Amino acid sequence: MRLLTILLLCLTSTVMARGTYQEPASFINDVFQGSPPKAKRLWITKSLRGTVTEILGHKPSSLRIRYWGKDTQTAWVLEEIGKEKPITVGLVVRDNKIQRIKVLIFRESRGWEVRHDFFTKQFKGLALTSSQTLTKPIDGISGATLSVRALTKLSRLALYLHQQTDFSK
Amino acid sequence: MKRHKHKKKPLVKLRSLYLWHRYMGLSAALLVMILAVTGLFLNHTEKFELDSQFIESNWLLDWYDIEPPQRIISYTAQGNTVSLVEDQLYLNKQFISGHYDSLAGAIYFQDMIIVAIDKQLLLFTTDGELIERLIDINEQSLTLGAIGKISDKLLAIQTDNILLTDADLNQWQPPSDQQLMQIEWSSPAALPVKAQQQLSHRYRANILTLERIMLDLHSGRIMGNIGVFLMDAAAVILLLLSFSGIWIWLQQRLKRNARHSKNPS
Repeated sequence: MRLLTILLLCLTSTVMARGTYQEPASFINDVFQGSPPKAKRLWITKSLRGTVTEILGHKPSSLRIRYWGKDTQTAWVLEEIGKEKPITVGLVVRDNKIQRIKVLIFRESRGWEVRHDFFTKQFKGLALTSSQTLTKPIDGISGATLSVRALTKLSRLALYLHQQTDFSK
Repeated sequence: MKRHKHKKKPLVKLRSLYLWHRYMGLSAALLVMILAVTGLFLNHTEKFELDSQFIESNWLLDWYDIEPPQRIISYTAQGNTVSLVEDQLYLNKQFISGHYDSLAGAIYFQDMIIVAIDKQLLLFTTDGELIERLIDINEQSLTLGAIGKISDKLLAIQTDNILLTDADLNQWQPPSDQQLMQIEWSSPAALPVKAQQQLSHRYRANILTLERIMLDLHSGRIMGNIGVFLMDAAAVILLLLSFSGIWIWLQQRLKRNARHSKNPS
């Protein structure tokens, strides 16, 4: 009976871990206190493609990326595959530093721990070095290596893309 | 007859153990080779990209009972076919990554192919490169029911209401009565049988990974319960081989030591 309860708890936690924690549109609304600016688009031109590919470890999945910008802040909704399915992440960059990172949609069956604040708060205040890495290493979570890797890539990507916008000055 | 005459000499015993060792080794050799090779590959799954290589062989797909798709929904846009095959999306023959539920339509607009699926609009070049994924309409996440256009100037979607936007795809507004009448909605297209068969094969060939085959070869599950039993037997034989090998080595070493102590010169 005890074993069955443990099994049920494990199964329930896995099922509950998958899902939409916040709709991307609602995240953008939150970031700009209910009045988001008009979305802009950044084309991944030939000159950006090399670095983006290096950061992601594969070619970018789309030719342009939408973002929202105001003053020195930009907000991005990016996706990267953890093991098999994409993780949708909302990122805010201000003054070339990560201001906020939040897992919005998690579709994998493992690695959902990356959505917790204890993990995401490590990214706050990090910037990009000249070799496009984060200024501090990120502590991993055992059993969530691929999700951790995906979030690290996306934070580097958001910082790099922010530098390419007019809001990075 | 004296009893000690029936006892096997130590040399004969050792020789019989040696024979057992040999036959056990020979009988398990093939299985051990499979275990070793698949184990090596599985240890380096990421390097060999086993999880992103898919099996296309029909007999292997049949062996795994991977059924042809029950559902193929297609739309055409400027000579390009967009198809939802079960949960897989294809632009012509190109697989679009992700899992999807409901294809609402596809349309050619402003030199792009725009696909309305689930809660997103996928924008492609005519070469099939993904330009962008639009995941919100007026900062809201809405399930799409249909897609259409008015000439090549305004794009229309149907959610709970009908909304129109221009080439910027930023602001969506309800249409006027006159605009409502002008919308050309995308409608499903019937695929030729050959194209359906090709998609059906592509669907099946996008399910079974090389990693799955390696795992099943390693555990023996590829042959069902018999395979698992065979691999179990191989593992037991490997254990016995280690014991018999150590035993033979010890016996020979002891014998050599004894001989050496009798004739130190």
